[in-house]
This record gives sequence, structure tokens and C-alpha cells, in this order.
Amino acid sequence: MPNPGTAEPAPLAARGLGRGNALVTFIGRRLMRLVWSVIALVTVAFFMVRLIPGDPVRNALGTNASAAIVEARRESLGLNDPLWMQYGNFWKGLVTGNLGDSFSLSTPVSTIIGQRLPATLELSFLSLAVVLLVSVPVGIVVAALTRGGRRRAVDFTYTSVSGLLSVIPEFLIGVGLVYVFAVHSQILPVAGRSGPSSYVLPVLALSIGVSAGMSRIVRVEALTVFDQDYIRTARAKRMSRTRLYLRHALPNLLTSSLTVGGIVLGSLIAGTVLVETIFSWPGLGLTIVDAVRSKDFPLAQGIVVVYGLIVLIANLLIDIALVCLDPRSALKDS
Amino acid sequence: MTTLDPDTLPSISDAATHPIDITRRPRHGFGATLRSPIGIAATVTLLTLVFFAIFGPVLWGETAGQADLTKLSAKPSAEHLLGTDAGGRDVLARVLTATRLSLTSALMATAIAVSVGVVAGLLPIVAPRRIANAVNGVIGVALAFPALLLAIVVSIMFGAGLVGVSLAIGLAMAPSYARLTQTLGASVAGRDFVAAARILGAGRTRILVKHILPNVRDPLIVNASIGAGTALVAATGLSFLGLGVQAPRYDWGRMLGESLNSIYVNPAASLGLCAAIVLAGVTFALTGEALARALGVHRPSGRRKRRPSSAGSEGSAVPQPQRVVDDAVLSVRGLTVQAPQAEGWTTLVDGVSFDVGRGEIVGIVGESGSGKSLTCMAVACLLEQPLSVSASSIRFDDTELAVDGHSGAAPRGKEVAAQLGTRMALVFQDPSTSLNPSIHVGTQVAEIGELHGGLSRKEARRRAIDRLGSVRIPDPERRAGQYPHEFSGGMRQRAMLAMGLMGEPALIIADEPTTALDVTVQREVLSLLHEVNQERGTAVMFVSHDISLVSSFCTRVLVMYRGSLVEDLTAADLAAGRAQHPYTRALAASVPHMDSEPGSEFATIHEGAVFDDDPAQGAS
Amino acid sequence: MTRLTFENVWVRYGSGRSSHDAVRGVDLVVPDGRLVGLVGESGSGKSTLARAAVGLQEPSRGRILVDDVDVVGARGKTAAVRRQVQMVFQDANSSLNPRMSIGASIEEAFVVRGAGGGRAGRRAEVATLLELVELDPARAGDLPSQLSGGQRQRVSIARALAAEPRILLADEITSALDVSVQGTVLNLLMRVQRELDLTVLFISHNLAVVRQLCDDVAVMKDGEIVEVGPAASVIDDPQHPYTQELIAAIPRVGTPLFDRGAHR
Repeated sequence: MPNPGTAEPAPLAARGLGRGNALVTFIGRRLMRLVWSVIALVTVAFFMVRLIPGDPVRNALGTNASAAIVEARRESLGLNDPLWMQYGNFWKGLVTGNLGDSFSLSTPVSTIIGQRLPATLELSFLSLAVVLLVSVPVGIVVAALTRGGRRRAVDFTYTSVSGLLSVIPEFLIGVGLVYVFAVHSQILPVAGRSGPSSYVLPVLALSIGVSAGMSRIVRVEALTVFDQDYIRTARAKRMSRTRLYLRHALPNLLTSSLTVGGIVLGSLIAGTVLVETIFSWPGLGLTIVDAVRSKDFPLAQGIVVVYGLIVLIANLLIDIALVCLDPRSALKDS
Repeated sequence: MTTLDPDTLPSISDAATHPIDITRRPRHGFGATLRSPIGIAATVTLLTLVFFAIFGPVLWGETAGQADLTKLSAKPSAEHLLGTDAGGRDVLARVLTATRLSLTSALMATAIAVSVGVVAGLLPIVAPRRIANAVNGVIGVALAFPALLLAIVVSIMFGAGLVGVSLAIGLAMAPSYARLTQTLGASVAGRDFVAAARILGAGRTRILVKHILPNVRDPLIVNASIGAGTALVAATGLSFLGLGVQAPRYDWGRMLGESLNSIYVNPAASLGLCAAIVLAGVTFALTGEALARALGVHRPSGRRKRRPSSAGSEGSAVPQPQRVVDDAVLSVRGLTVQAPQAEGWTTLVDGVSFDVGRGEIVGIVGESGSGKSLTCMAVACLLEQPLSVSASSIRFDDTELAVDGHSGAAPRGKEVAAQLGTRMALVFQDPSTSLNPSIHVGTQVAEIGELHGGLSRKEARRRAIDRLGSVRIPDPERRAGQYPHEFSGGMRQRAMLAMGLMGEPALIIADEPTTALDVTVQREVLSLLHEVNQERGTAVMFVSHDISLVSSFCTRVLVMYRGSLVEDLTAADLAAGRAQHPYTRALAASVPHMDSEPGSEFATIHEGAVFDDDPAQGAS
Repeated sequence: MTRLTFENVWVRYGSGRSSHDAVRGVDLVVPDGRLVGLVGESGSGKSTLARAAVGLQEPSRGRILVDDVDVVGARGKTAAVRRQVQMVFQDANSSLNPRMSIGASIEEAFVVRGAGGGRAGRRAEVATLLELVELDPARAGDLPSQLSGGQRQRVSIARALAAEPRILLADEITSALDVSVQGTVLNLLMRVQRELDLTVLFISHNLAVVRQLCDDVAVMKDGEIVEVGPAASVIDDPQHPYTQELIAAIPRVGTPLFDRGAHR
């Protein structure tokens, strides 16, 4: 028995806190957080290289390089300037789009990133689309089928299969796909980025495990929604199951699915690093691995910043979309 | 590389609205869990893994180092079950030997992640506000970046190698542990027992150690176990990229990266490694699952049982109510609701029979667990599995709702659906949850018109606005376009009523409609119900735990006690103290009256009291 | 011997434009040894006022006095004074640590206070308290989940009493209970108040209970106290229009809430 004595506080709207006002506050605060995150990202990327034990230039050029060459390289990279000046220059470079030159390729880092970025973005967003298109319907359908302890067999099969798939990392799925499509049948290309068919395997590798994991989350969310009082209200109107799920449950699942989607996008973007390596996909992931291995620090640094920015901007967009879908969340937040 | 386990994490919508209750789920205990299939699987795989981690290098270390230069990247043979690698060494021996290193980095990473995460997550609870905010800020920023990217960044700083990898992954996973700890900790810290301890004067450390930690420990353990699997996969991934363990040491990841180059020649090596990694990953996931069950972190999944045989339907006479009404809009005979238990079924509503006449206001009163709400929901055909509903007959508005003695929520054709949708209106207890938060109120009210009234969207909307106005919602045109959260509690309840009035209801079932409301608001809602009853002759079935409310609002009162209907009497008889059944009398006496003697003792019903009289005895 | 005084107390939630004053300038005296009821609807600020008195919520303005000591922001010695004010919460599910035996919950007050007598002494005290609230001392090792709602609420009272309070704040302590159990808890509170000569502030939305239980009553609305006086006289003959409205809305057995029509 809930009690009227200390029940809900007056709705915020009633306290003269208008919706528009809250939205503006929310977006303002959200942008502030973005600024802090960018500062953190850039600072970490900057110090990442400075914290490497020893001299990064000596590291990169190898022990055979003469001291004079190393020194000249240090000078040209500005590594002999005081730290605060280097930090300032790093920011200045970022703002003007000048990220320095790659050690190993001797081309501007920004040029390399400009060439490689689209491949990675395509891979990530295609995979996200696949993940959302698979996991949301699957999660909801399985929840609808198994709610209230119905269909134990479906429940068991789904839980086992999705559980197994979600613990297999993307690079193992990638290796498996390579095995099937390289060693056994040659229907689909297993390396490079050329034509639509070359997208199939990398996207599959990235999205299978994540879809399985996300569909589990969607299912739990869906089961929670199905238990809500307003679903009972809708059932009392005696409508078809389809209408009940699509019209009354789905809108309430979108917000939580989108929230999870944001987390998932992050892990998809990170996953590109591994998947690109397996499928020789000419994106940022392949490039950063090469850069780190060959100790090409300016390039690695630049890619870390770009990766970070992609994730931050994607999160920002998702948060704004969430607030548009569910204005209450902004109100709640403030 | 997400460490999200949907079952152990609080549901997102849950977390937003309710404090997480991590303690009410049943703990299965370690013994029982060990004997369950999942416990056995977890134990077996875990022991296997531990065995190879300890003895792998001892038993196969030497073989693993021997290079047979005549057999480079050889296919599997009796001698080399998984073939050889590019250096001519036996792959299987190397896989087994590498178990130790692969597990070591994973466990080290998990230890780092958990300790850093738990400290960072709990610090804000005990630290001064400024430090707490700073820690929260750092966690928030770190969480924005995917763990694998963080790991790569950290591994660049610490360099490759075992320690570098463990640190990189541990630190990369720490923010999500910190957030989990924080969420769990904050939900516990917000509960009243922590407030009570603070009032007693308990210090922050004591509160943390005695009150918060014991209540967040279990989900953290479960997530640590699942996280170990994630760490293993991540460490393997880093090594696979060449950023992890460096030659001459080798772990599964490094081996996999190398074997991929010769996948055309000896695919068995790659597949064997994949199998080892998946097996280890599954082991940690299973262990997490088993721990979750043992510790009771999981929601118990309801086991479905065969329906109980329908009660008393075999040839026995149709049970009769204590009071038969001539022109009944609803007559219920022998309604029984049962719920599955570990052993058999428990009866929640036991053969209830009653009538509601047209235009009557009938109250159902009883304490929590008496079955009054279930009775209503069963009549409305809204109870679903796993509950089982049976009745000899439920006649509503001249339609039989009980099919073959059963009366669940099974579909019964369009006509019956339309009749229930338009002739029966429902108002539920909690107005803050019974309206859909993401649909405009007007649209929700209008829906019945579209579904069953044959109205166009526009017509339905116009009628909805009219009905909202008729339940005294000011400016209904504008209000119809608002979301439920923009309504006050009383207004939401009136909107529910407006929804019911879209059709021509013959019966309004109101299940504790005013319990969540203040008395003054309660009066408004009740006056509306009364008005509808008076002007349209709509019957009302009014459920409440408040016997004074029921007796002053209703014309007739049904008293329920532990699933049975013990008495059916007029409100006038109840008010005049002419109740027959001892429970009714005890219940009436235990309600504090506005004219009781100040300072006198309150009447009580002894906790162990049982009123097992035959219900029929109490009938007039 | 102990009086609780609120002097122009304001409590504000939030800050800036979204802030909201939950308590607005409350002056209230809970006299020594009296049982004072505090009634009002949800959002009236009655719980917030109680939370301010025990330090769970800092008032933004005003003084809260235990006898003559201001306990707002209490530290050190004044914190000890404030510990004489204890609180019992509405929901006994949430107010007892589910991982702590009820004995340990009650014992905590002695441990925190550093009471002498050692472990055995504390155990004996716990047993005495359990008996005082009519629970079997042998159940000290039980977890809250093994108790019924009414029993849990009695444990909560025992825990508060373990701190040897002079003032007890009871915040809706029976509103989560069935009526049949409610009486037991209220009778216990009444008895304990008399036996230990406690000063009690009893927060409730149930006017019938307040009228029967309390000596005085204060009516709160929108963060302000609108009427104070002897319980029976305020409730039987309310002066303030809001109190009148509140009391008129209460259903009474035998008095139809609305005029019954001709249909029956």
C-alpha cells in the first residue's frame, strides 16, 4: 500500500519549470561536459607520448640512428621546447587541423586520417544499423514470447545461444569468417575494401556478438516495460497483440534501446581496430595498430584524438535524441 | 568490450524510477547452485582452466619450445594434433602452456579494474563533496571512451608486455566498475537504514563498511567474474594486435595473430586457439551466472506449470453468492485464482461468487493479500500467466466470459473484445504509472473510440477532448496534447476515467483508485465517479482497503479475507454494526474513527488471529 | 525535560531557478513529554521538517532547538545533543539493513555511542529492548526478511529507543501497514511514550489516528503551519479553511460521502 503522506513531489512542470527552459539547461550542461571531455581527451593524447619511458624519437628511429639525426628530429618536432609550450602548440595544431607529420610515412597526419576516416565510419555505422535492426526486434519478440515464464524452450535456447555469441569477441568471429570464406568457399572477399560485397564480412564480424548482447538487454528492458501498469491499461482497451507491442510498448523501449545503443556504438568503434586488422580494412584501426607497432607516435596520437572525438560526438547526438524522445529525462536531470 | 550483463545490471528504466532492490531476490545458496546444471558446467570448466593454468607450462612447456624445422606450419597429424606453427612447434602444447599467461593477465587486469573501480566508486559516498564531484567527473569523462581505446592508449604509455597489458586493460575497465559500484552504492546510501545509522551518529567509515558494502558486494562479485572474461578477451585482443605480450613469451592472442598468417596452410591452429579463448570466455560467463544464482542477484525466472484442474467444475452445482441481484450487470460464480509455487499451486482467490446490479456501487474491502484486486483483474480478464483463473461462470452485460471454466486473458473474439473495451471501464491504483508516459493523454483517451467505436482519428480525438472536459479537466483541448507527467495525480486519475467513458460503460472497475491520492483529491475523484454513477446509471465496483471509505461511498460491501469472500452486506448494515462475520467486525473495529476517545488504545487484530468460520455462516 | 523547537525554519531543495522551498518559515514547539501530531497532504513539507530536525536535511534558514541548544549543523558536543532526537521511518522494509540481523541493528546505537558493558552487556540491552517492543529476544539473530511488516516496524522503534532518545520523530510509521497491524504499532508507541516520558512528533496523514493518539496537532500546507492546537479541538472544530476542507474530505463510517441518488 503506497501512502499518500509522502507520495510523489509536485510535478516539476507545476513548479514553473518550463519544458523549453529545462531543455536549454540540459543542452548547456551537456555541452559543458563535452568541453571537459575534449580537454581530457586532448590532454591524455598529448601526455600519452610524453610519458613513454625513454625518448620517443630514439625509440622510433632505432638505436642505429646517430645522435645528430635524433637531435635534429627532436628539434623539428618541437620536443626540445618547454612542456607547456608543446602543449599549447598541440592545441594550436589541433584547431588548425595540423597534427604534425607521420614518422614512418612522412606525410601529414591529417592527410592520412582524412583518407582513412571514411572507411572506419562506414564500418561502424553500418554495423550499428545492423545491430539495432537485429537486436531491438529480436529482443522484443523474445520478450513477448517468453514473458511470464512462457515457452521455456524458446527462453532456454535464446539465452544459451545469445549468451554464447555475446562472449565470443569480434576478432574471433572475424577469424572464423575468414576461415569459412577464405579456406572453404570464396564467395565473399576476406580482405580489403572494394565494392559492396567486401563490407559483408567485416560488418558481420563486428555486429554478431554485439547484436546478441544488446538483444539480451533489450529483452530485459522489454520484460520490464511489459510489466508496467500502462501496459495493463492498454490491455484493458482490448487491442491486438501487435498494436499493444508496437504502439504502447515500443515507444517506451526506444529510449532505453537508444541509451544502450550509445554504449554499443562505443564498443563497435573500438572493435573496428581489431576487425580492420583481420580484414585488412584500410581504416583508422588498421592505421593506429601499424602506427603503434612502428612507434609512429604523431600518427597514433592523431588517431586517438579522432577516435575520441567520434565517440564524444556520437554520445552527444544520442543524448540529444534521447531528450527529444523523452523530455522527462531532461527534466529529471536538472 | 562491454561488461554489461543485462541480468545483473539494474534495468535502465528501473534505475531511473526505483531504487535498485538487490536484496529481495531469493538466494539459492552455494550448495544448491553447485548441483544445478549451470553450477556443474561452471565448476567443471573452471577446474579445467585452473588445471591447465597451473600444470600447462609444467607438463607441456618443454614440448612447446621444441621446434621441428622439417615441419613448418604443418597440418594436424597424430603427432601434432593441431599441427605446428610457422616455427615448427606443436600448437596444442603451446595452447595449453599459454593458458597460464593468458589467464594471469586477465586476472591481474580484473583485480586492478575491481580495486580501482570500487575505490573510485565508493569514494564519492564518504569523501567531502568537492572531491566526490571531481571523482565523479573523471569517471564520467573516462566512461565516454570505449574501453579498448583506453587500453590502447594506456598500453602505448606503459609499453607492451604482461604488466603493460594488465595495467592497460585494468585501468580501461575501471571506469565502468566505478560507475556500477557508484550506482549500487548510491541506491543503498539513499535508503532509510543508512539515514537511521547517520541519525544514531555512525561515522562514514562505519556506514560504508557495515551498511553499504554488504549490500553492494554480491552484484560486484558477479560482475567481477563476468569482467574477468571480458578482460581475457581484451588482453587476447591486444596481444593479437601485437600490442600485448611480446616474444619470446606468448599468450593465446599473440599466437592467434601469428597463426592467421598461415590460416590457409594450417587452419586447425587458428581454430584451436579460437576454441581455447571461447572456452575460457564461456567459463567466466558461466561462473558469473552461477555466482549470480547462488547470491540471488538474478531475477528468478518464473517456472511455468501445467494449469491446475479447474476447481469444482465437475458436475458440482454452480456456487451461489450470498446475495443474488435480479438485474445484474456482472455475476461471478466460483471464481478461483491460483499461482504456481515451488511445489504445486497456491490459491489466491478461492471460489468467489457475487453479483453487481446495474447502477449499483459495490465495494470490495480487505487487507493486503486478501485477493480483492485479483478478483477485479480476473473479472476484467486481465490476469495472465503464470496465474491461472477458473470460474463456473462470469457473466458481464449478458456475455459469458468464462470459457470452459477458464477465464484468463485469452483472446475471445472481436465482439467480446469490443464489448469489454467499451462497456467495462477500469481505473487503477497508481495514476503515475497507469498512463503511458510516451503517448499524449488525448491520444490515449481517444484510442478506444478508434479501436471499437468505429471513429476516425479526428472524431475520436474530438470525443476524447469532450470526455476530458466532462471529467473536469480544465482546458481539455490543450491538455489532450500533453504527456501524463504534465498532469497532477488527481488529473491523471480523472483522465483514466475519461478513457473509460469513451465507450458507454455499464461497469467501472476501480481498483484502489484513490489510495495514492491525498484526501482532498480523493474526494474530487470520488465525486466524479459518483456523478457518472448517478447520471449514467453506470455500476461501480470499488476496491479499497479502507473500510470507512467503502462504507461511506458504496451501497453494498463485499468483505474479503485471505482469498475468500466472507461477507456480503449493505453499507447501511455495516455502518450500523450489523456485520455478521467476525472478521468484518474485527476489521471495522480496528479502523480508527473520528469519534474515538482521545488517548484510548487502538483496537487491534492479533497477528496470529484466524477467522476460519464458514463464510456462509456470516450470511444474512 | 526535553523540548523541540523550530524557529523560522526554511528548507530549500535544489538551487538556482529550479529551487523549491519545501518548508517555509515554520515556528513550532513540541513541548516536553507531549505527543504532537503533524498532519498535511503530500508535498506539504512535514517529512522534510522532521528530516531537518535529525540533520538529514540542512535548513537554509532558522534554528532547531533541543531545549536551548541549536542543533542545526551540529558537530561534536551538539551532535550528541542531536542524538537525543531519533526518528522512525515510514517503510520498515527500507529502514532496516537487509544484511544485518535485527539484533545487530538495535545494537548499533550502543556500539556507536561506545556504551560500556561489553558485548554481553549490549546483548542484554538488546534483549530488553526487544521485550519492550513485544518481540521475542530469541529472534535477535533474525534478518528483517524473516519478520512481518508490523514486527519490522517494532524493531525500528526499538532501534531508535536504543539511542536513549528524549525526542522521537515518527514519520508515517503505520501508513505502509494494514489497519489490523497498525493498532499494535500505535499502541506500542503510546505505551513507550508514557513509560519513557518521551517527547514525540507524530507525522501522519491520517487525522483519525492523530486525533486518538496525540495531545496536540499542527496542520501543515505548502511548507507552512496553518493551524496548531489541542488535537481534539482542532480536528472537531477546525478554524483554518484548509483544515476544514481537509477534515470534510475524510470519509466516515455511516455518513455517505455524497448524497445517494434514487437508484437504491
